[in-house]
Amino acid sequence: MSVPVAPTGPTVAAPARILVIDDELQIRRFLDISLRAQGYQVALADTAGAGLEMLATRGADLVILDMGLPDRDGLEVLGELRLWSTVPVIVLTVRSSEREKVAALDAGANDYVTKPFGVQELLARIRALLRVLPDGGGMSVIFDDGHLRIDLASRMVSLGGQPLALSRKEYALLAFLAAHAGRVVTQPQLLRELWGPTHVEDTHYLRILVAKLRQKLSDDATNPRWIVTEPGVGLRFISPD
Amino acid sequence: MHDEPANPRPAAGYALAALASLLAVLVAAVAERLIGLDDLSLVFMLAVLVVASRTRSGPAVLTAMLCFLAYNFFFIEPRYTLYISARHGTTTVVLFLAAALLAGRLASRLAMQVRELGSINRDASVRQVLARRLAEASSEDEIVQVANSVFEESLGVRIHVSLDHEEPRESGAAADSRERSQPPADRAAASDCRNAGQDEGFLLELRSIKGRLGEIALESPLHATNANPSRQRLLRSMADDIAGALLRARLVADLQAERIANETERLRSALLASVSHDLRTPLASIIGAAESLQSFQATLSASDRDELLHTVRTEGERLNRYIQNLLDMTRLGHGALALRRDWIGVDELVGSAIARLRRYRPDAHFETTIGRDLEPVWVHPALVEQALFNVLENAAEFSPPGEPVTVDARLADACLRIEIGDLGPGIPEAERERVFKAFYSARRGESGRSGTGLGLTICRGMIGAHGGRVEALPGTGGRGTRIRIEIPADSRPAPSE
Repeated sequence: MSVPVAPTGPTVAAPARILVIDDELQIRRFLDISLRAQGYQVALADTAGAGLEMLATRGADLVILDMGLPDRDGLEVLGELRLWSTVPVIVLTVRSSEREKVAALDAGANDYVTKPFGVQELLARIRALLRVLPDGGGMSVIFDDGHLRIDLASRMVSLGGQPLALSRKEYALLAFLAAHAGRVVTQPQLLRELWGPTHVEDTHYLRILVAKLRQKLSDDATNPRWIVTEPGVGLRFISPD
Repeated sequence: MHDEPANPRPAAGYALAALASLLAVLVAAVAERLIGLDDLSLVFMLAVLVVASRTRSGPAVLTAMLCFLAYNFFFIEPRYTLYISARHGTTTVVLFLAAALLAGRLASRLAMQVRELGSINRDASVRQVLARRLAEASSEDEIVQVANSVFEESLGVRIHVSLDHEEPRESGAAADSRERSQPPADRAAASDCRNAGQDEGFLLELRSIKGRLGEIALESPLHATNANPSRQRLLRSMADDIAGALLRARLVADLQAERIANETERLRSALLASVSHDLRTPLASIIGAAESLQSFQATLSASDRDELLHTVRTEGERLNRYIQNLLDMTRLGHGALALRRDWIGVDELVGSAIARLRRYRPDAHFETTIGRDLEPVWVHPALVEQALFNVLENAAEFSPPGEPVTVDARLADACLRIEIGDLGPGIPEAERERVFKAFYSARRGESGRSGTGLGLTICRGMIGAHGGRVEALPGTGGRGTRIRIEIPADSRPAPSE
C-alpha cells in the first residue's frame, strides 16, 4: 500500500511530516502503520535518490534514513542532505557496530536506532527530536520530574527539593545533556562543548566527570534513572516521556 | 696456534726454510762462543723441526739440506770449507742429514694431520650451528633464512635457495611471487649466480627421501674450496641437513593443515546443526503465530491475540540475538577484531548490558556490586559490553524464577574482576571448561535449553582479545554457577595530559 503525501499548509496544529527512506518493503509498511497511528503524516521512499528528491520538493519535519540503501551509501546521503537541510535525521543501522553509529552521527545524523528496533524506542527518539529545543529566551526550567529540577536561568539544580552543589563542569554537563533530553550526545560533542576543540580525544576527563555527576545525583550507572551510557557512542539523558 | 691458513703458499714455506737456516747458524755461533755448546747439530735439528711443523715436506727437506751444508761449512773442522777431516765428523753430518730428513717428514705429516683435524672440527661446529638453528626454524621461510645466514656467517658464502613446489599450479605462482618479492638487482644476482653455478657446478641439490626439494646456488665461485674435497663434503652435508629440515617443516605444515581442515569441518557441521535447530525453532513459532492471527483473527480473544503477538515479537528478538552471535563468531574467527579502546566506567558497561537484557527478559532480577574505588577502564566498550551481555543472558536463562543474578566487579591482583553468579543448576566440574567450546549447548541439543552455544565462546574471545580470561567456577556457597571475567588493568595508558 502506498500513501500519497498530503499537501499540507503550514498550519500550527499540522501533524509532523515524517519521511521514511528505506528499501525494505516490510519496514516501510510497519513504520507507515505505526507512525500514522501516532498521528504523524508519513511519506515513503525506497531509494536515496527518491528520498532526497522528495525531501527537496516537499520537505519534511523529520527524516528516518536507512544506512544500507541499495543505490547510495548512507553516509554519503547524509553528507549531501546536510548541505542544504537541517531537518532532524534518525538513521537506521543494521549492524550493532558502534563505529557506524558514530560515523553517522558525525556525518550529521541526530540520532540512531539499531535494526531490529522496537517501535516504542523509535517513537521516543522521534518525540525527542521534534520537541522544540529550549532557547535562551524560552523556558528556563528545562527539566523537572518532581525529583530532579534543572533551572537554567538561575543555574540551579535541586534534588528532592534540596539544592545540589555542582561544580561548573558538572553543571555544564548536566545542562547540556538535559537540553538534549532523549537524544544521544556523542563523546566528542561533549568534550568539545565542555573542554574545547583541543580536548575531543580526552575521553578520560568525561568518564571521571560523569562518574562524579552521577554520584552527586545518586544515579546508579548500572540502573540509571537519568543519565544512560551508550558504550562507545556517548551519553543520553532519559527523556521524561 | 694452528691459525695459519690451511694451504700456506709454497714460496712462504721456502722463505721460512731459508730464514730458519740462517737463524740456526747465528744461534749456533752464539751458543758456541758464549755457552761453549759442543754438539751444535741439535740447534740445526730444531730449525728443521720448526719449519717442518709449520710447512709441508718440501721446505722441510730444503731446511735439512741448508742446515746440513751450513753445519758442515761453519762448524765442522776444518771450518769454512765443505771438507770434513775427521771420520767422526763425517759420520756426524751424515747422521744429521738422515735424522733431519726423517724428523722433517714426520713433523710435517703431523702438522698436516693436526690441520686436517682442525678443519674437520670447524666443519663439525659449522654443522652443529646449522643443526641448532634449523631446529629452531619452523617454517620454510625461516629455514631458508637460517641457511642464508649460516652459509654467510660461518663460511663467508652467499647463497640463494630456491624451493620446488609439489603441485605445478602452485609452484608457478609461488616461484613467481618469490621472484617478484626479491628486489630486481637481487633477482639478477640470483640468476647470474645460478648460471655461473650451472657452468661450474656450484649448485647444491636439496635432496630428501621424498625426492628433490629444491636447490642452493652458491654465489661466490670458491675456487680454492671447490678444489678441496673436504669442503665439498661439508657443503653437501649442510645441504642435506637443510633438506631434512625442509622436509620436516613440510610434514608439520601438512599435518597442521589437515588438523585445521578437520576442525573447520567439525565446526561447519556443528554450525549447520545449530542453524537448523536453533534458528528454525523461533522461526517456526513466528510463522505459526502469525498464521494463526491471520486465519483466526475473528474468533480469537483479545488475550489470545496478544499472546500470539507477544510470541512473534520475543521469538523475533531471540532470532536476532542468535544471528548477532553468529556474526560475532565470524568476526572473532577471522581475527578481524580490531580493538578500539576508550575509557569507560565498569558500572556503565554493566548498566548498558543489563538494560539491553531487560528488554528481552523484563522479569530477570539483578543485584550489582561495583567496587567504589573502580576507576574507568581502557577497553573496547562495545565488545566488553557484549561479553557481559552474553554471560548475563546465560545466567538469567539458568536462574530459577525469582532468584537474582549477581554481578560483582572489583579490582583484584591488578585485574578488573567481574563475577556473574546465578543460583541455577550449576555446571559439573568436568564440564566447566567445555562450556566455552563453540556449540557446546547445541551439541546437547534436545535438552530443551535455547541458545546457539556460542555466547560463552564469544565472551571468551572478546575478553581474550583484551588479554583477559574467562572461567567458570562453582557458585558462592556451592549453589549455581559463577563466571569470572578478568581483564588486566595495567594495560591502560596514563590518562592523557
